[in-house]
Amino acid sequence: MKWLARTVALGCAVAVTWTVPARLASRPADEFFDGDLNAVRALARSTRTWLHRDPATLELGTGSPRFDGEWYLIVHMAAALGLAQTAIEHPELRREHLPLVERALDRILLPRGRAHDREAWGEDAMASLEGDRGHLAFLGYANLALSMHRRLVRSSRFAEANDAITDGLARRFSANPDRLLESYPGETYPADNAVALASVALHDRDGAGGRSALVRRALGAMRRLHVDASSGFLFQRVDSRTGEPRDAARASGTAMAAFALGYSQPTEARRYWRALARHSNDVLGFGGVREYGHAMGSGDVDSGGVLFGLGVSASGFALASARRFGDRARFRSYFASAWLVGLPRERGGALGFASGGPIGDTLLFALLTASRP
Amino acid sequence: MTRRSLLRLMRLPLLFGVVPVAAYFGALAALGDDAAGIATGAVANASPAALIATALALLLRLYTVVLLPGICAYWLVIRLAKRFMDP
Repeated sequence: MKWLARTVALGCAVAVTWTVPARLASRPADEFFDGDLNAVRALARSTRTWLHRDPATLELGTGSPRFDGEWYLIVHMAAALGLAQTAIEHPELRREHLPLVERALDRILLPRGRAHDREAWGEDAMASLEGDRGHLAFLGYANLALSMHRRLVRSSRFAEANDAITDGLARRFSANPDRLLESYPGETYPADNAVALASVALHDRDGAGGRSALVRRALGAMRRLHVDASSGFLFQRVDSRTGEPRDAARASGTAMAAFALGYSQPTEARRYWRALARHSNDVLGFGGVREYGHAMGSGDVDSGGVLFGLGVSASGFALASARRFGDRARFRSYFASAWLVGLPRERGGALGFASGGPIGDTLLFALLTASRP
Repeated sequence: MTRRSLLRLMRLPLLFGVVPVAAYFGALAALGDDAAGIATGAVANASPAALIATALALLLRLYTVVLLPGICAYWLVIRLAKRFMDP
């Protein structure tokens, strides 16, 4: 009879492993999906901790000065977006969050915020706004944070920079709306263009800037020319001159584009979200988005780790779209993965993620609280 | 049930359950702010000690969240079967 007991026990163990761990890990997901104030506050405290640290001591640890520079910018953009959108969703947080949003913006506008861009272009993005070079490794991301701040405070000391960058970007796009702008010399990424266009549209959210036709046209061209028909994903990189794909169509860029466009172009964001949802998968209930759709690949700095075909970055960014478009089941499943490998820890009422560092804490804050259209 | 038999009964749950869970929280607490960004791949500036401790914490978390519930189920069924088959 021993063999029977062992077989039943093994069956139970498999059944429990199949169902219980993901449920355990996704238990707190609903608090974030529903925008529970205490959950939001806990995440915001962790972001505040990073903003209170001297930016000179902020080590990103990518091993590359360019990627360190990009991540410095992303950390502060995500902090600004997270803090601003939660202040809009929970007006009682506004007084506490507004100074922190402005602290993040101040840091974005420090020379360090665009050093990676200056190093590549040999000119300063802010000093060459009248020029025609893309500078999308800085301009779009910085402007998205500035435009979001504008939703909290219409007129402030940041308005001038926001207007100037928006004008500069709109002028560059209007020169040829069918052609993408470069992030670095000879390097063109559709996702960076989506972020820049989202920032212009967010700046003109009330239609005051009169650039909605331009944004629509440029996004339409991007969909027509740079989306892979079979996966629905944006090509990660395209040739600066011809627009031909120079990398696979990938979920990480698509998920980031959907996240940024969700602030101002929900219809466009929803298109990309549908592709991401279609390529979602799970392992024992721990969900994620397949980085290469039906294909396989090993990933890079954009995708983060790729395990069982599921990309860390794509799955994280997809959390925002799942929340925005009301897909609770997928939100729970992506959340379970983030909660599992993020090593969540609460200290002094702040909820952070030990295995993500500053970029993990601030991005997950922005993604888990992504505002609905 | 004597203290000795209770200890014998709890030996496995202690070894496979309580110790790893305690070790996980211990590793997390010991890391402080020095955790390596393993999930994001940002480990270039991490010290070897932080890298090992973070990797250990991650392994312990994978074990305690993913495998431990199944191990508990297996152990419980075997215990129950023993009790009913060998009263």
